[in-house]
Amino acid sequence: MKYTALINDRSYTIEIGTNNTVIVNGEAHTVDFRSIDGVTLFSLLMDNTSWEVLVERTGDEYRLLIDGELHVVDVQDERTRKLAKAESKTAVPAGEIAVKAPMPGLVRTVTVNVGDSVAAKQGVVILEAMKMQNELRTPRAGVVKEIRVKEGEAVNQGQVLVVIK
Amino acid sequence: MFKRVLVANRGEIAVRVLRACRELGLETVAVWSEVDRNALHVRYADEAYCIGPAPASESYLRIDRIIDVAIRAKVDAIHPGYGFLAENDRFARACIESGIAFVGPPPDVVRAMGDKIESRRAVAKQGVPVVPGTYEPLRDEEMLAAANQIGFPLFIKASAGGGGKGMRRVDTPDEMASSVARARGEAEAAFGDPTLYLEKIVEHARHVEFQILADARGNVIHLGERECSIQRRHQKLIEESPSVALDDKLREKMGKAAVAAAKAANYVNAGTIEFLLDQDEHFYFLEMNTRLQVEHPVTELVTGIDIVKEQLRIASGRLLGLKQKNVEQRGWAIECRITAEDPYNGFLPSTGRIISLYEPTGPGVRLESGIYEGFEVSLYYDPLIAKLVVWGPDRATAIMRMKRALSEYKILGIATSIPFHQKLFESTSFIGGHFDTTFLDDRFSMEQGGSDENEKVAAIVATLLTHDRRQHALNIPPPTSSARGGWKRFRSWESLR
Repeated sequence: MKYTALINDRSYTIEIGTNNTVIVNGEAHTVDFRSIDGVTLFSLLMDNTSWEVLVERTGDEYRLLIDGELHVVDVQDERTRKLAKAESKTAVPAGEIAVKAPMPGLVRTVTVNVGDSVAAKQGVVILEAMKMQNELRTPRAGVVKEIRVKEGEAVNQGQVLVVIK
Repeated sequence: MFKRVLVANRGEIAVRVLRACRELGLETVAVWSEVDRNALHVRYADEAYCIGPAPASESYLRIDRIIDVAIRAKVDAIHPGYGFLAENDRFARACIESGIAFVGPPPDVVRAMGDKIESRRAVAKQGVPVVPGTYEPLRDEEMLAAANQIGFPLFIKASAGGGGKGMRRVDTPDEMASSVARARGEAEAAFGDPTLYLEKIVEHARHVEFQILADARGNVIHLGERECSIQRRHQKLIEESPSVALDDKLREKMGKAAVAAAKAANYVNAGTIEFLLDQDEHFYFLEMNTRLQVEHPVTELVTGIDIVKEQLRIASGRLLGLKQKNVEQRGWAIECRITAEDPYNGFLPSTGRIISLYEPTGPGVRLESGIYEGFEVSLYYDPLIAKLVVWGPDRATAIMRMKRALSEYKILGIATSIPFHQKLFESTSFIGGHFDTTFLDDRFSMEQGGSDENEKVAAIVATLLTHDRRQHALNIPPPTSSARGGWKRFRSWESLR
């Protein structure tokens, strides 16, 4: 089976072969891959070089920690790749985007108003949790369409706070 | 010496203090909130008492309940740790009024040093240089004139404050009025006291502090300095002892000033004098902390002195057994604060259950930890979950040792600051000792990615995991036999979630 792993702007073509081989961009490696704790920690021996990797997955996106470095990988096989290509042709530009609470907490301040233009990475809400005030930012630029919380309100993890369009 | 000590704290510091008590042969009493029933300090102590629900204001900050437990458990001393009630003079007084020793300075000293304006005055009177600024509480209409006299940029600070709370930087005169209003609001909300003062910003300063020990007879010594310039938004993340910025001459000068400052305060027990040190080796008193510091282990490792045991001895009325000339700094120690925060996501707090824990050990490694496998990191308390401290004969060895220990340290289930430390210990500025308190905020960032080799491994691992998920989706039921070879053998991590 052939896969494409995307990291930032780089892509790796990876083929899973037989006899514990993987072929990465045409180069063959012998791998021995094990789960250590059944969840997050993995050990990889690649051509006898030993690696320990912490892995977290959300959907098709993998977040891997190696030596403190974070690598975010999106893996596609031939089928999902074709699907993604087809989608990208017809898809409309992304519409609304929600700024959600990354953890339970207390809304200290909402720093924007409905109708405000916001830049990418601009702070929109200050959420207090664990004694700390955390600024939540919008991932991209847009206009504030909706504010769904009030200052002083306790919110749950994943709750939508502000909608940007 | 005491017979029975209550530790009015939780987490790693409660365990640290309990250890000292146990080594001194003292009986120990812990207190806990309802979410901390299974916590390490509860299991470690000889006795443990519940003091209320999870929020600190209903448990670890309840003076009445802690004193009540202390009386019921018949303890003769209370150690407050750091945070919570450690610098609360009412608590210190309540202990004494109940006939229980408070392991810390007298209540009046706690109050005087907690009032930053008063402490600035007391210390300046002894001829110790103080950060230029105001020495009287100021009314709103007096602020601008005072600010113009000091010069911009400056800080507005809360007199009851500390640790960066109620603190605002002001760069130009026209920002003054609105910043004063907001700082007053913050100070009132955080400390119940809106008193403010102004302090000039010392540009490119290092934060260097001195550990003090003082007995009730007025004998005061210092245990050398700690370098605490690696801060994120005024929160320390890495501390070391000694500091690369000090030579013996400057150390002696600052040490003398620190002792003078402590004497000015009539200080008793362990305390810390914080200084700002500028690039021309001018130093200024910043504030005094009247408690055991989070970062005390680095001093312990280079001096060989157990500060918590010294605190207990002094509180029991003993005189200092140590003289200044017997205090020697040997080698180099570094501490990394391990917090439940995600450095790749703006240091947002991370909560949840610790699923697996692999702790570093080996030569020169000391771990002060409050967590265990299965521990639930909650939102109720400070995100500091552990401190990793190493010692080496010199700074280079200590740095290599810390890198080694960090790579061994795996806390699974929550995001932690470990990757931040790993990246920082790769920074040439840090390794070279070229940093000040603005380094992290201005000249360091947590970029994704890194070496090409690691990236390739990441791509392969993610692909192997994707492949495994696909195989499992096709093959029903999933194989449980471990007889198959190679990477296909590991069971779907998905099914175990």
